Amino acid sequence: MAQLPQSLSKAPVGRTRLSREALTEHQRERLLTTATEVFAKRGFTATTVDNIVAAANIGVGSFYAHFDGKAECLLAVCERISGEVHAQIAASVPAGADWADQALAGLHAFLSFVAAEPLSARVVLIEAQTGGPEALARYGEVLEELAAFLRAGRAAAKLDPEPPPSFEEAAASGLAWLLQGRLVRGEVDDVNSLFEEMAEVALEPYLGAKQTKARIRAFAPDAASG
Amino acid sequence: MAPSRPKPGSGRSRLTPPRAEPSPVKPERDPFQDPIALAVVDVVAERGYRAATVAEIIERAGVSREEFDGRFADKEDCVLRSFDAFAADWEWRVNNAYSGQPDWRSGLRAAAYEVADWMSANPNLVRFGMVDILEAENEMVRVRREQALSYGGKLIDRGREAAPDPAAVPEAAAMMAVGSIVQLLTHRLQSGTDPDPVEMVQPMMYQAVRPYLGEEIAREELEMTRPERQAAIDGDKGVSNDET
Repeated sequence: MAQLPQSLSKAPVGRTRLSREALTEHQRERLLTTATEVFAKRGFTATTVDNIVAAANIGVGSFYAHFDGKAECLLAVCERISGEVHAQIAASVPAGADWADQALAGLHAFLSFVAAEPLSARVVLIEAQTGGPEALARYGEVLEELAAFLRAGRAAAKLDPEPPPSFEEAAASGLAWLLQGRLVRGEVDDVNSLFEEMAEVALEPYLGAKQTKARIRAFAPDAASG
Repeated sequence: MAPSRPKPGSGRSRLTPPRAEPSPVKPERDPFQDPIALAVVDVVAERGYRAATVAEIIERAGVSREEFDGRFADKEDCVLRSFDAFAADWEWRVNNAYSGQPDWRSGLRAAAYEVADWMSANPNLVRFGMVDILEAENEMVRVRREQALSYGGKLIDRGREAAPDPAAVPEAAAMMAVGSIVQLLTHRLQSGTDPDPVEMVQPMMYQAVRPYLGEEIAREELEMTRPERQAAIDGDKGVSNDET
């Protein structure tokens, strides 16, 4: 059977659906990007759905097609940022790195993310705390993830005696506080300068002061990120 | 390898006497006697930061709108100034507890218990200062919260003078310790877990002392009991404790 010219043929059904899905996904991404900025600049509690849709230049109905409300939107924003941070950290850690080098590379990658994306950092480190129970729980999970990583340093360093069980939970909280202070004061331009301070307090309990300083001096982020 | 930090010689003899930071002064207006400051804390605790209104605050305080307007520009201003007043009171009490002890470590411990007692006695105020005002629109409120909560860091960092090797103490040690305490309390309050501030003193003292005096001495803090309280927080120096 002769075929119609391509320009006159009906597009396959699957293709049309894909295109619609792509459009929907694009709209969702645009919403998330805009919401990140609005949450960071206005604060979660002062932000309304109207603020977000106005900034994204879409209709209210389109917003609710994606999210139940601003709390769910914030949660999605946090998930997206968290995914980006994880990907950047994973890419920064060289294969075969020991615990200390993983910590240094991960911290360096995270601070670079904060410097490059201060609004995103503000949303996950500050606004998530006022974003409702689910966002708060997500924030708690991030801290626990950090604490679990630090806890692995006990085995790596063969600590004897070991610190109290709550040590890493407190340490992770302390590290978050150091960054939050910078974000609240708007001092993010030189956030990379926190690298040495934060690396020191994170590693010293496991490696001791001398070895920690030596490892920090020897750390070469470019080599780490390959 | 376990970290090794030199012990401070014979121990306590090298601890320098505590020196108070530029002394906080007793606030001119005692916030605990100020009906508006008390009302804003209670109304925010009950209704939430966003829902609390000036009308509710003045009704709870039993003052006129004119009096409120004469002192504050709006709700945010009232929150900021009330927070500042309570923070000044807190700093004054903490400093007094610290100064009344013979050395840095026991001064810090006394201050920690003073803070814990203050928090236990004023749960609404703790929630107001640590959690509720995170919702303030005025960014200055958050900045002041961070400054006030960081006050303890100045006292903690006095440990540098007591440290056997001050150069080995990480720059951020004090802020890290303060941040640990603030974040843990805030997160527990937000998650609906009622933290017992007194129970948190020993592990937090471990956290604060460790970077300065090392693992072994910090570990002692996990067993240390409350120092004998001063007769009054008015500069009375007649105190003895478990280290004297």
